[in-house]
Amino acid sequence: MTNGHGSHHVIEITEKPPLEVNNELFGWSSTLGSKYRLAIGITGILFLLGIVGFIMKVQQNGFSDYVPWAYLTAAFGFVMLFAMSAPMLAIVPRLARGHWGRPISRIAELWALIGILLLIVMIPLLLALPEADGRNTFWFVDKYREGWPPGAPHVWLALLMVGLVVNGIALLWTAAIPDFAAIRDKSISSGKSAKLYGKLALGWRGTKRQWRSLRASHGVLGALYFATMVWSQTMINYDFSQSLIPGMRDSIFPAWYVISGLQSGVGLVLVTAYIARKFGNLQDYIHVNQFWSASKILLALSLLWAYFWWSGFIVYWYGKTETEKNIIDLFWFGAYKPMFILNMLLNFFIPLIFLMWNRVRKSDWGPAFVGFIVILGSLVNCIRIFTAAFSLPDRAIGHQLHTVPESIMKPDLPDVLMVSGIISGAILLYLIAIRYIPIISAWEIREGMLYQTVRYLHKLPLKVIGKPD
Amino acid sequence: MQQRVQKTEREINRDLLRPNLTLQLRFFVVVGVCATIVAMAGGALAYAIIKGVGVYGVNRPVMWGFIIVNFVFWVGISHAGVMLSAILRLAQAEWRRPATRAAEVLTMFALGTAALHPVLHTGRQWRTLYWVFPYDFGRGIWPDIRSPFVWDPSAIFTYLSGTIMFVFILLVPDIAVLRDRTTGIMHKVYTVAALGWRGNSKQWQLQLLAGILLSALILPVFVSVHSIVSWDFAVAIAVEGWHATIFAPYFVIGAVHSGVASVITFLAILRWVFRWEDYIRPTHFDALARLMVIVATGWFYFLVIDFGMGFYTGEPGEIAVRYAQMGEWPGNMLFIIFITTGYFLPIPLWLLKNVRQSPMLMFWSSLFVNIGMWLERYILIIPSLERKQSLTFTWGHYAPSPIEVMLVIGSFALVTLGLVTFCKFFPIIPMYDVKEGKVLEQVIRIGKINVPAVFREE
Repeated sequence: MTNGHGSHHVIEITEKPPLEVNNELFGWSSTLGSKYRLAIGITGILFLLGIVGFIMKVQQNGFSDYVPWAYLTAAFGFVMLFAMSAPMLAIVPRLARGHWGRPISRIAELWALIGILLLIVMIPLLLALPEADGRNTFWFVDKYREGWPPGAPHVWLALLMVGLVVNGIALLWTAAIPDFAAIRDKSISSGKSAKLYGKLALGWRGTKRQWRSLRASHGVLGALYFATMVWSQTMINYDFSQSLIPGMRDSIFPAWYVISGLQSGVGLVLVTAYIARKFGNLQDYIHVNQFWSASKILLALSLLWAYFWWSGFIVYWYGKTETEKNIIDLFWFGAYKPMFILNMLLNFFIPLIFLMWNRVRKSDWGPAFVGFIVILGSLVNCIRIFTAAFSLPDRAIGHQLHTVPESIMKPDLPDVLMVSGIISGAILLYLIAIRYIPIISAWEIREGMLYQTVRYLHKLPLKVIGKPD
Repeated sequence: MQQRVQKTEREINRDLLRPNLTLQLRFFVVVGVCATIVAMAGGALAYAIIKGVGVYGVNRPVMWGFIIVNFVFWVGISHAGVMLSAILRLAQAEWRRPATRAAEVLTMFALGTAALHPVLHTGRQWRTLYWVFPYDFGRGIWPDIRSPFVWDPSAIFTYLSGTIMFVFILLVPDIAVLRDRTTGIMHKVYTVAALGWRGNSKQWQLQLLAGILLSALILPVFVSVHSIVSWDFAVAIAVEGWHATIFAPYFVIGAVHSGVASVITFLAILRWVFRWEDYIRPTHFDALARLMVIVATGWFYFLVIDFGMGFYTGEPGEIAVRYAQMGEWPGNMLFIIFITTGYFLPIPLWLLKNVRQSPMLMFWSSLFVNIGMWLERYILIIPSLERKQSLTFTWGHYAPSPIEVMLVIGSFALVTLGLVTFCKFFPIIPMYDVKEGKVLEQVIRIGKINVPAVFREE
């Protein structure tokens, strides 16, 4: 409820009986109507078309050469960037005890499920990825110790991704246990459903010890997820982009890529929260405050995105070795210049121009719009950096970049189908997940209600928030 | 938060103004010792001016030695102020209140001291002006504006002037309190400095607005300063190990790491010297330590990426630098001390609540961080310049001369002298901020437990 308290000063705070919160949020998925089914239908069809595109690609090209798989890599990188970074918006406010994160924490964590799809998509990419021999790589293969570690980079990349996905799902699961237990105990679940939720709830009874364990698991899994996410994105950037470019030694490139991921992850949560609020009638839970707080993080990340890019660019610009000049042409001023300009607009200038205004930040549409723009920017970004890296002719020979392609790598029909298919697959998986897992964490909302109230400071009503140790 | 202490405004004034309104022998002792060391450093500098830079340990190819290492260190320390004050102010973090001014003042003196170092380094100090100002229009001789060496002074002086303004604006209400409690010459000085502050609502509005604006405006300057310092190194392609794109954010986050650690050290000393246990509480150290865990881990990620780049390329030159930094004497010994004191010792300790809430342990662990961070700068700068590359005739060696050591010690004494003097004449804990914090304090009752709470304006 929006609490005006008889003043023009609007304070948004959820004030509902706990039982009502449970009923509304656990029964929310059954209220999803025709639009939901339509979304499932469209994404399902596009996903199937993506599978068709994949089969066509395999028949046309096989896995002997990695170049034809550039667009699938870009799509993989894009979905990984936004989906696997999104849970950070649940982890950070929780660790920093920011109450504003409560209504959007589950929205963010649910995106970790997309990791399952990514693991499947990664298989053909790893099959096509060339051996590390003869290339610059973080793996020690053929450089210092022959064949060590065995299977690098393929096996180790796969293990890193499996670790990330398992960690993400564990994070989602543990944070949802109290809700699973509440659904188990409610009359809305019966038979198989009750059994399923009973198993998912892992015997949760809400004892003090269980709550302590839950909070500890948030800290440990959250920190571990952050570390795994950063390193997975870093290694994907190295192995699928930088190491394919002869002579490229750009230490900020992976860090910039991680920032790009965090930026699009926040953007994704804002867009999802907007859709849930607007079309899912969740205005009583997802307030403008959530958009306001997350948009400040989005603004900071957009500034960091530009700063990291500039920090890398200026060193290359000053270095001006042959390889550096060619890399400047490859990524920024050559054939990919229009995409780079678009990138700067979508990832930096538009977020800056919009989000610098408090009025925009303090709305639901403003941050969501910028979030969408940033996600688009990330798609352009991934296509730019992965297809540029995959398009080089002298990929595995020597450590100097001598020639730069004169035109961008254009997608063929299977590429288009695969890119739209994997993005649709991610959305489809999310849509299916919210049918079974409450999109808003009911226990966090109930707990948050205890810590927030409205009191008067002199004559001004203000929100009071509890900060437990 | 549970450690809140109820104090009246009168008690806050009494406690926090005590160092300003009373004369204490220890103040003169500390000032005397620091001034003596600074004078000795001045003597060392005079000797260097008379004899020339030959008295420094630098020689071809290692032309940057202790003084540049110390310069980067002090610029790093200066990053504490904005990090703690501006960012936490914008983020409405309540725990910032007793720490902000200490951080800002540390910034001011650390940056002022840092700015001296390039001048000390040149040997012919008056010629340093040639870097910065155009001096012969007629013959078209200009400083090379494409060089980060020219950007450096601009960035540092912008940051320094911005910081001084920031400190001053936020000091005005407290100066007015001092004005009303002093007599004689000090009263006159505080009257001028208080700018007619009466504490009416319009003045508070302006002061608040100025604080927020300066916080937002100074942030890009804060980032630019250490970025530009990093580009002093990174834009050069001739020195192995320096031409790294990650240097700018790596330097900035390293600076925040060492800067915030130095604020912790400073706060622990203030708490101990002035017995401000009610103001600088374990909960503040706890919050700072949590922040440090995040900052330090981010810094460590950049460190791994930067050092890993040598192994990534596998180029002999890069590998030779990494070997000099980590594999051969004295680099290996320094590296072990650096990485242990800078990360592996403090971070696991700060994961423990007991350590985070112990001012004594926080003092020592934060001090260790800065020992490590000083060595980090040494490891980044010197081994690269020693050029242990394939051409053995270009190899060099660096050992600091006593003059350089004296100048480094003198810089620490100079910063300490500045801080002690400031603490004598101005409240180092912002009184109005602490009082405001008290007004905003609330309690929410959940069941039988009182949970600390605050008013939050959205």
